[in-house]
Amino acid sequence: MKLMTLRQREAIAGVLFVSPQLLGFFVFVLGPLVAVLTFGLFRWNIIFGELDFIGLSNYRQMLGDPEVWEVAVTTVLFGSGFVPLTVLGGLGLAVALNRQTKVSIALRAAYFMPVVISLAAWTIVWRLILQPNGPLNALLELAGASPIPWLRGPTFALVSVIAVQVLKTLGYSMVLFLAALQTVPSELVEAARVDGASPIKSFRYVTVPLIAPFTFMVTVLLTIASFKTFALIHLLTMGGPGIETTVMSYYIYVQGLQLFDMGYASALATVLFSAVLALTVIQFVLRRRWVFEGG
Amino acid sequence: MSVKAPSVSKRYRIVGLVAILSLILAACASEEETTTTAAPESVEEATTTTAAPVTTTTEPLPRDVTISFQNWYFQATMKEAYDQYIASFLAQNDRVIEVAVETQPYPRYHDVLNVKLTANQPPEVSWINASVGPQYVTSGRLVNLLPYIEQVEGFNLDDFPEDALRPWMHGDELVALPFTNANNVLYFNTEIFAAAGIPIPLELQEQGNWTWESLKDIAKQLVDSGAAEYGFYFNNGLYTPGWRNLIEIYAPYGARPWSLDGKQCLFDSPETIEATQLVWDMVFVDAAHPGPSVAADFAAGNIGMTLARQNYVGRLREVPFGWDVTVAPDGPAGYVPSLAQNGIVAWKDSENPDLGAQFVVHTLTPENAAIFSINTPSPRRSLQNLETLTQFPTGFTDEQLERAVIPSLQAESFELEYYHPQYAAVDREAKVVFDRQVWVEDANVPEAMAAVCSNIDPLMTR
Repeated sequence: MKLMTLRQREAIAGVLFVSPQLLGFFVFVLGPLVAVLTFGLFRWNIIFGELDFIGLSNYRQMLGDPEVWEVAVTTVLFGSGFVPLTVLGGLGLAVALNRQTKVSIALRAAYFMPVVISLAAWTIVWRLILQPNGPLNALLELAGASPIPWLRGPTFALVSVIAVQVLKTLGYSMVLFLAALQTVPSELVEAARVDGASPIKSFRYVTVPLIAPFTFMVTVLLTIASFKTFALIHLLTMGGPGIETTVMSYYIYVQGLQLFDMGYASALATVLFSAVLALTVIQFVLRRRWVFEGG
Repeated sequence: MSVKAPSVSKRYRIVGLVAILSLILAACASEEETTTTAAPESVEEATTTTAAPVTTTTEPLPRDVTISFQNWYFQATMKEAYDQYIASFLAQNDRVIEVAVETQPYPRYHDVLNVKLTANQPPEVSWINASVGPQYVTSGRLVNLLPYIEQVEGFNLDDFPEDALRPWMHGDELVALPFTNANNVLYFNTEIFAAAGIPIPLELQEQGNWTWESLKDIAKQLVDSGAAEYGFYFNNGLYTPGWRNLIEIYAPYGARPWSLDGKQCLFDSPETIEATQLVWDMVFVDAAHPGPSVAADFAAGNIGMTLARQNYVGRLREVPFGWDVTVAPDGPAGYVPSLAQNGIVAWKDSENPDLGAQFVVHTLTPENAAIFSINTPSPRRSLQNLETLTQFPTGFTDEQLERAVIPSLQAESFELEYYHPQYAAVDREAKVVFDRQVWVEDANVPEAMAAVCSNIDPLMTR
């Protein structure tokens, strides 16, 4: 009997070591993913339990459904507001608080606090704050301004949802940027200063390029998070008024669990997954152009 | 000694082999689970295979069955009632060892139930909301309760009004039993009325002038006098859950959202428009009702009147102001109360559908239905009287019960909570238009109601 070589034994051992993780991946990630792709080809009313193969009909229905396009635009608008504001806001806070004073440390803790607060509690409190007769409008009236229908106006509702999500996530972004700023060698910044660079120029031409890999990572993570936003919408506006704050992940829930059309919901989920995947790939491709990798 | 590394193709083969083995293991595991939990195809089959009284097995079956029961509320007097049902059911049934109660908050109740249905693992027994009931009724997945009712001596199905059972009929089958008969009562803050110097609703009632028009007028007067922040409030929610609670004014106006057969939209009928316009005026012209997204509660003491469920009285036990009750106002069609009758069902796909059905029927026997009257009046005619209601601490005086509760139960004409075979889709489409075109300051109500009909017309004919 031919004995296995050392490399072969090592390969088997390696596979065995990763196999639990691999099994989990197949069962809990790849399996559901394949299931969603498959169910997207069926008409599946979950109440009736009927499962009829309809090919690409769900996708054709999607293309002709104006509501889907409206939801897609809302999803993009939500991401376009949430991601840049959280990245830039987090970076700004990190730069402002990147010093070891008691005030800075206290402020860091304060800004990070929303991250550890339960999303449900955070959202419910904001729902009260944003009421027509809530404290925010009371402040506006004190300042002589008219009250604003924060959660009812078509534009204001989406702006409010974005703002509440940004405030919840800002601390997370700030902490990542604080870690990034620790990696910037102080001698490089000092050298730029010695060469006559203003603080703004040294930040722009030294710090920003050096933390670019972190900025890239934060942007990718927040982009993915923006597409997955669900609980906040559910608790704050339930997608309303009308469907003004209905983003795609919430719309998938509505189609699948409220209107019982799990096949259509699966097709929508497939499109959302493809969009997130495509966007992430594009970001990785563009990474080479604007991310300073050192060396 | 030199060691030759395995070729790339060999490595892939090893990885592939492990992956395939993993998948096979996973598949075997799920198949085993499916086999052990597979539900009987029909009630008859279930009865043959698992029901103790008709089984052909010679040895007695062990007492090892747990029935799962999903509901959306299980506290205080509601829990007490079900605890009694469970105890008496376990005492008379030799198979069931436990009724496992799973309570889900109402906002996500049907989501959880739907996920279980998707996985083909529903609970044995569950509640179903009256509005969405027809969707489940027509699914063919609910156990026909009639054979089980026939086995219970003294059940007397005729005690349930025909109208109350109609939403739960599927052909000749009765697939659910209504267990609530939620009615509305008009609560008013006597101190606010005294401060404003306005006659209380009871006086208007005595004068024969207790109508929605007069309610609108006095609601405005209460606000204008400064005695109340709001004159009136639809406590069941006008904006969330939405338009469906307009039933409280639609019914006495002879208005409906769609025809009884569910095939014609009636949102644009003159009656529906008139009733909706009155409410819109109250919100946006008189500022006498809280606007969209305003959180309000009559118990806070700053609202003159509210139309709320009978069991809302629990919220008023310790409020620091005086209050009293009467019936909802009349409309052009007279006094037509709205009633919400939720259903309790047994699921065919569950592990023990026959035992589930037996439990469902057990909870609605005359004796057990009477116990439930502490929470909500029973749909049983024989229990809709003062004698039954006064057996329990409802929170009302006998006089209040007679004045505000009994009339809604004994009304000749009443409206059941709206239901439709496409309810979820219809509700959503209508809500979108209500949000965008009705509950806005510059609304044109007749045009908006026509828009509701254009939106839901395609669903009416399906």
